[in-house]
Amino acid sequence: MPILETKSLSKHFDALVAVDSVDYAVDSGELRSIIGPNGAGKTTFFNMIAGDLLPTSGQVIFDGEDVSEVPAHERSHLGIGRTYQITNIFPKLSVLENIRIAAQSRKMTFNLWSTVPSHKELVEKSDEILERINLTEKRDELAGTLAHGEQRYLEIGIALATDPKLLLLDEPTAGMSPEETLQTGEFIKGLADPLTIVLVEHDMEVVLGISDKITVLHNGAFLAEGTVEEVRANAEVQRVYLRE
Amino acid sequence: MDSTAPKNRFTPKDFWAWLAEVFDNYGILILAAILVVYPFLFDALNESIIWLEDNDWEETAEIVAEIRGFVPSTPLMIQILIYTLFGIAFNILLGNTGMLSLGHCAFFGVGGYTVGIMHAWIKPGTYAPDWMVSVFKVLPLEISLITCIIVSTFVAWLIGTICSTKRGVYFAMVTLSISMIFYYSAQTFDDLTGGTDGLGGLENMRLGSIGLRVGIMDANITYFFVYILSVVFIAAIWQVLRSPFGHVLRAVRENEDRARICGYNVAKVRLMAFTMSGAISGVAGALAIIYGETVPIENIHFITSGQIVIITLFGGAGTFLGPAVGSFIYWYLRQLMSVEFVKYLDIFQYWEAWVGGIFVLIVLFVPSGILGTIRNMTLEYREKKLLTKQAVENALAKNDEAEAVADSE
Ligand SMILES: Nc1ncnc2c1ncn2[C@@H]1O[C@H](COP(=O)(O)OP(=O)(O)OP(=O)(O)O)[C@@H](O)[C@H]1O
Ligand SMILES: [Mg+2]
Repeated sequence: MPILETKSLSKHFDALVAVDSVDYAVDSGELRSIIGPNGAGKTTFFNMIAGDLLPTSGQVIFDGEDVSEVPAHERSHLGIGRTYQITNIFPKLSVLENIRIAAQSRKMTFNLWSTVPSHKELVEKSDEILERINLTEKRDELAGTLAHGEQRYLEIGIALATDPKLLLLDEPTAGMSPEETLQTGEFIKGLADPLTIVLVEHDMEVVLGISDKITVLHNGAFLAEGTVEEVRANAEVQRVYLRE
Repeated sequence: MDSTAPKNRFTPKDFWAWLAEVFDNYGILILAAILVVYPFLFDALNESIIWLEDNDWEETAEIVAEIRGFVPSTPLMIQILIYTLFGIAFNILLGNTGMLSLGHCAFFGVGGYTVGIMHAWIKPGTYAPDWMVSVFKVLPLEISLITCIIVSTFVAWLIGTICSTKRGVYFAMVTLSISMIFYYSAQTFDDLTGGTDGLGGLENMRLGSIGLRVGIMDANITYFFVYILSVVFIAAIWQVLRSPFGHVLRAVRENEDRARICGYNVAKVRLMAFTMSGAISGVAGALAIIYGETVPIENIHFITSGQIVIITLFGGAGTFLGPAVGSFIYWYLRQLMSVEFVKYLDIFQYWEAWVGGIFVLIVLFVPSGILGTIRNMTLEYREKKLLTKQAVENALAKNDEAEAVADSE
């Protein structure tokens, strides 16, 4: 059974059709990529899955449950985590606090009588994630003062701290150097399985290198879907995307 | 010598920073200790004047009396304490959740009117039903205060559900408008509230359980009563702000969208913060009517909301005790200008304008408020100390290395 499914999912912004009747299915543990030219509707598609936007029509089914109208914060608890194309962190909180606040959301919101450091499991989990994203040394610095690449990793760390089953990554390598980009690709590959990942990415080397399957979006609609070889061979994809 | 190491010279700026550090570490304790004995100190000052007069030290007595004019009286300290509690409650929203409410006079007023109306009307020969009057020969303050907490919590929750979904300017305007409705209601239902004359008839307010009387005749007892309640509620707020929920508030302040995607129900968090802030502001409003034994309608007027914004920003919205500093400065300056300075210069009767001017200066030159600026200096000082320590350690390590090399050769 797929962990994520969309059924003729559409989003209209007035006359503009940003996402056009998309049917999509991702199996548990897969690492999938979505590619497509600027304005193809990739981010809008993510927004509807994570709950930042409600669809104009169609359904989002997560883990067998129709979540099309479920508020974003509840979808987070169901197991959908995401990062944004434009870095979205808590710039004026410390690196540790960024991670810890995300981890805390799994345990408690309205706990008024304890203190955060007294929750050992929270402390351990934050430490572990800081280790994974390689920011242990900078834990006490303000997130906004980190280098761009570090901030991108921090945001992935925030998403990981919420224990997602499905992780949506919107151009995680945006603004990174070619070297960093390749490293990040490897890092993402390391996250997959049991975690399910959907990746929106412009860097073809990364996409071709790590994806189980690639989906090509064009003008809000599906153009093609298949393995790396299939997509590479697809003439139409060549025409609209790969050659550009 | 390593020339890149920062020189460890003690500048005047370091002195202030050091003072700030002491204040940061022990400030709360020092403050609380002084405040516990304050009425006795002030009484001692009064006594000393009388003693001096009795012993033919007329001139010295006059000088001390002159000085007394510059020392905050116990009633003024009551006011300062109440607005400290009010400001810290208000700052749950402004400083911690990032919500600027311009309608907190509604809670302050509702708290005061709840207690006031109960004491003014639950007595023989009024609107109150007979059974109520016979149960409470003299209504105990405990009962009215508990009622006040319930009422202001409910009112805060109600207003919160209406306006805590709004953001920024819209939030400020909606809270302001709603508080206007409360003001005009207080004015309209003057049978109950006393309207613009204020609500009187509050003599003989007693703590039923120990029969203690509070009010204008008993400044010291009122002071201790207000002190204890303020400390209890301020401590409660302090705990809430360091709790996991407090961390969520700051996350919402910093990036609401991120907090939501992290799984927090932001609307509910904001409503909860609003309700707590409003409820405790109501308690402050109740305390504010005890010493004066009246509920002035100004308490529910927009001007009170303005005051609490100014007080909080004076002290620094980014710090916990900022409103305490703000409250002290605001009320002390007001007292000085309108009572002391005005003796020498007429223009000081327009103390509002002066306070306004000072507010402008603070916003322009120390935008993080007085305590906020002190806090920043503390951090600077700590950093400098840390750097110096590291530099010394580095130098020592180098020295050791050099010696080791020299030894081996
Ligand atoms: N909130 C919005 N209101 C109106 N139009 C929008 C909104 N969000 C996106 N659009 C439009 O929808 C279309 C799809 O945008 P989207 O951001 O989803 O594209 P994308 O595939 O992520 O592009 P990119 O590669 O540049 O990130 C674009 O034409 C965009 O201008
Ligand atoms: Mg995009």
